[in-house]
Amino acid sequence: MRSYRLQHRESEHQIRHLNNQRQDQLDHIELYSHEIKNSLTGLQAAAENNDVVTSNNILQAVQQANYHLDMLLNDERLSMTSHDFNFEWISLDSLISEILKQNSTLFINHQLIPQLVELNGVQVLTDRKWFRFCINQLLSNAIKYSPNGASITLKWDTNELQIIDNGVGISSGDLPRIYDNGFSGKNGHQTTKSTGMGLYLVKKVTAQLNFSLTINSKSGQGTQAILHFPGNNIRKTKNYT
Amino acid sequence: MAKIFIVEDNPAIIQTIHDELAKWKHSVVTVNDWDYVDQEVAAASPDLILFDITLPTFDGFYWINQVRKVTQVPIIVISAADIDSNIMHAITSGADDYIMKPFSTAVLLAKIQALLRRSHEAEGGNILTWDSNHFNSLTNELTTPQGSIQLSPTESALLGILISHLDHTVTKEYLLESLWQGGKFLNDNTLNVNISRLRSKLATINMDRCLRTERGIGYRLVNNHED
Repeated sequence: MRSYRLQHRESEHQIRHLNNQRQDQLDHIELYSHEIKNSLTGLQAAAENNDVVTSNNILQAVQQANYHLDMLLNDERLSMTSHDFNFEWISLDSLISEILKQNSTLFINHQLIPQLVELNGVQVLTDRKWFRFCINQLLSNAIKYSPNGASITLKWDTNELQIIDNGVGISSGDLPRIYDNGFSGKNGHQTTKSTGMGLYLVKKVTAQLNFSLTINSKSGQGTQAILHFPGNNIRKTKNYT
Repeated sequence: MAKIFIVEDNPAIIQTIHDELAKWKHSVVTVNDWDYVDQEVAAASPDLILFDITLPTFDGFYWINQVRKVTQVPIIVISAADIDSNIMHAITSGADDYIMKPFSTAVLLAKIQALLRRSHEAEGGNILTWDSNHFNSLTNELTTPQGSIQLSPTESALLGILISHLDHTVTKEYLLESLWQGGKFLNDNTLNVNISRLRSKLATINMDRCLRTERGIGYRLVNNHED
């Protein structure tokens, strides 16, 4: 009888926990959906107020909507308790080159240039999909907060991948809270639309994978995002160029 | 110029790609019977194939496998946004590159041109000719009746794009996008620097006038004798 009650209490506890998790997920979906609706509203208004809408207007809205849709999908996937992580050796320079090509339009629009330092011949053992997601997120932050024409450095330095921008930086008051979900800080309010979910999701990924995230920044002096790998998950091969 | 086979069932996407490719004088073939995709591809013998993944009857992975049995021409997968595992699957099935929906037609075109150039070079066609000039895209050497010059890899990539659009103005945006898809990451400033370097090298063999600047638009390569 007693053990039955205990079991019952545990089940109730678990149900409460799952309900809370579901509520959190729903909040996230609403946040992303809100952003997507904003983009659609912009398009609708532009179409209603003008006979001809400039392609730049449309492209920006579509890119924004697509970005937030991707965030929504990844957030959902990440909320599942069982992941199908697939560890493999990944060549850093070719993965980063792929990611840069994928983001070419953003870079070109902002006249930004990537500086690739010491990436050649480095291989890391991890899940390609989520590692890629993390680099993409950190890179998109670097792009968002960089002044036009600046450079963004992607550098391998003893066991870590560093993504360094010369952008606005993060004020020391905001720094402790950047991983909180929905926190967009001073920068987020002032510049591009920000849901404040990017770093939260990256942190969530790193908690489940074999690398960690550190952010160093000073207001006005740019930001350095670091993905750190354990030594035995790194392989260095000869450079073939 | 080239024949592109589009394995895609969405008419709007086919139309958009068709219009963009037509601008560059590429011809387009599409699927008639979704039960015989591989046979239709074989019959058309295209220079490059675009593949969607979500299709009627069998999916794109199945058809890429089938098509690879009959041809080795470049394949680009058009995939719904953000399904990396699908992309990895496609690459192992035999695709050469991929692009995610929604995509920019400029990026798609840059990828198509890059793959066409690469397969052309693989067939030993690494010599591009315009007028009486020969450009070797492997050694980056330009040979002309007035003499030869050695180019840097970035200058070569630039010249290669301009030669393949001889007499047509290539916009800065298109040049940048093409260079990026070829792994050369430039912005307006570094593009300008490379154009002036290329122009001063051309000047040493009296050919700088072949490289025209269309102010505010882009660049155009013309034949030697044109003034």
